[in-house]
Amino acid sequence: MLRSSKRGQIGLMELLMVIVIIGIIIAIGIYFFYQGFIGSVKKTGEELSMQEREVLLGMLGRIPEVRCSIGSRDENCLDALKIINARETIEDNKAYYINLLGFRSVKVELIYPERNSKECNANTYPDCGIFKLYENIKTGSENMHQDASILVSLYYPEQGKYKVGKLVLREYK
Amino acid sequence: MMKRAQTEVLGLLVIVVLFIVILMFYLAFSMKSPQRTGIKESEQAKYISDAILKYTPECRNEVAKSIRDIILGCDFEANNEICNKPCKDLLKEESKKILDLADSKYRYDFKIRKTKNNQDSVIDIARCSSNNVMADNRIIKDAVLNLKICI
Repeated sequence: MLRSSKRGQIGLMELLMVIVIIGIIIAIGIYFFYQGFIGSVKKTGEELSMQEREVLLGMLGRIPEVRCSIGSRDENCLDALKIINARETIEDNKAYYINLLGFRSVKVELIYPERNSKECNANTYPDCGIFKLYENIKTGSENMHQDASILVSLYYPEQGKYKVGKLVLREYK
Repeated sequence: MMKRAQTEVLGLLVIVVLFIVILMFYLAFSMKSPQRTGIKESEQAKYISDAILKYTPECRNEVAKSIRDIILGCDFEANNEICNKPCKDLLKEESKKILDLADSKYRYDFKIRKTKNNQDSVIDIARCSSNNVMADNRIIKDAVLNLKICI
């Protein structure tokens, strides 16, 4: 009777051990599954965010506030003088642009044939190279940002010259 | 008799659990979406082509000419001087400098082809090869500008 009880206990222990091992295998499986799943969701989120920034950049290069127009014809370039004036327009209608762009900043940098780190305004133009268009920095996120940029043709109407600039969109997290 | 049956059931259970775990891994990795390409690269290609074509190189004692005008005025065989330089060299040099400033996460393929008397002359500025390519072609009279972004 006693021997039979002991054999039963051993059987029960074996069963318990097998259940524990199976449980561990399931737990490891679920852990790695969620790691992979969360990782892929994060990656997709970042990709979509990057795409949104690049689509916004493409759109910003075509808004009438900054786009070149020669006569009545629109050209695919940015007018340096228009950008300076656009800054004022954007400041005056900030609510609209905040709704459109959120916590981001947009600027155009002159990169070729020369670079110039001086900010452009009515007083410094054309001896300058940074045209700030829009700025809405999230408090505390000054250093947490992601950038997207695109090469643009930058037109200086008073010189009749086209230079090369970079339209930069900075998104604050 | 009972113990043997129990062991077989447990063995079956282990196989089923292993199968579920493998299935979970497969699902986790198969859910990774393929890289989306298209609109942004084609936009980049258009903007870069415009930046190159419109650029007006610095020329001493000469009226500013855009790269587009230089392509039109350049005889690819004679390599005539524009802006105090052989025009093919000028086109190659300036286009390459601008292309080097473009987004470094892509590689670029850029050439200008001109046809004269049914003969093609090509300026090869940059080269890349990939199965995934986004292109922008511009036709300027007898010249064709071909920019490709290799993804």
